[in-house]
Amino acid sequence: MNTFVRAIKATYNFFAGDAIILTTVMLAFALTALLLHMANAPMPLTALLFVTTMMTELTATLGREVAGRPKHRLSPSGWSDLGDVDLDTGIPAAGPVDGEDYSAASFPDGNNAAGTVSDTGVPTGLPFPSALQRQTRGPTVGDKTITED
Amino acid sequence: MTAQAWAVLIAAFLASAVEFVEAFTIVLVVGVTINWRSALAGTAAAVVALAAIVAIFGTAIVRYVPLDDLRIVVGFLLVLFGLKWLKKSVLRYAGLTALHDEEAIYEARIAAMRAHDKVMPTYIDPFGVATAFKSVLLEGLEVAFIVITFGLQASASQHTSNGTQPNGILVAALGALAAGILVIIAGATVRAPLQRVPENTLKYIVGILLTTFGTFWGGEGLGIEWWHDDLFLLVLAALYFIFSRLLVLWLRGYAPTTPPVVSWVKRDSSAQQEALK
Repeated sequence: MNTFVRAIKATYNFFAGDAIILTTVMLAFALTALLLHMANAPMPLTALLFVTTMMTELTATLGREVAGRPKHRLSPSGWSDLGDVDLDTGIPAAGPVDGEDYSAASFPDGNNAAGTVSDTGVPTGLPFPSALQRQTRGPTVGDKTITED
Repeated sequence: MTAQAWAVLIAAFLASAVEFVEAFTIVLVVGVTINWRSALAGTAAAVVALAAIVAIFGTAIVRYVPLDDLRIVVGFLLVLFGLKWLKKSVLRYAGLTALHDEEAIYEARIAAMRAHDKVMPTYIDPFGVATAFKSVLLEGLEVAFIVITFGLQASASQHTSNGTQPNGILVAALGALAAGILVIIAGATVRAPLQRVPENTLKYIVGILLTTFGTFWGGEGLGIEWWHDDLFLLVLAALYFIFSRLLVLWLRGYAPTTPPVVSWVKRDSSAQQEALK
């Protein structure tokens, strides 16, 4: 890369550093000039369009940053993550489950492998609260919990 | 001083504070790892270069570029620059990019400098001077750009409204100088990287300010007459602020979560946490 190209690239990075921002800002300015001076568009409408274009540019460039990334479900309804299970209802979420979760999951009733089902018949992704409570209490015989002394 | 002059002063002050904090970290690294003589020599040379850039470009642009074209050019450049800063800030607040951490940068730089030099020289070291010069110049260029663009526009507005001599560049330069002095005093007092300066917040505010002024002046240059003139700046700033907060909320869903097990543990009972151990 010669010095001239490097200087152009450095200038571009200094001001915009982003092809979407540069292109769309140029378009916004050109479009506004055309609307005002050639099409005699109403001023408030043109101003609104100009500001809206700026916001769209920001949205577009940020959208590109997250393109291809999975969106995590962070709702307070209890979904733990994509591919996990709803910790309140035990219903599995769609999608892949992290391998680490499987290795961390352990059930006293043996339902700790991918593709198995819990004692409620629901496929397991992560440990169910009930299973973990059993594990914390220790194995049970009838209603009694067996504890180690 | 007019409202627009105050806005120029504040914008230049905030933007400069952010950049000076970043430059200060590198100068501190050079001072600690090589020697203070080299660090200060590099800094002084960069400050002189920056002052020359502001003086030459500021004067030349005022003299040769017509007012309406100047507004379009300044507005266009400010929008580009502002959207870039705003994008970075939104990504940081959404958790997609790590927040700027001066201490981490300081530690990494110290390690890099120590790997380069084994013994601390007492004389002026060319590597130390070059490092300090480069960092202050690069960080300062953004300040110079803001001082020139904001200053030019303020000068132009004042010149057309009451015919007085333009002094916008001087006002913006004073804002930058005040920020520089404040950072140097704070840095000399704590003798450590300035972690408490809310750089991420400042960058976010400056991003909104630059985009607001860029949109306003660019629009004016193109022929838009804003509703209630300068007061519309506040409306624009509020719009950009609200919109960027909405973008942060939207992008948070895409941020890499902490390892799923950890997030799961956080939300659940202590009995489950115990069970996972």
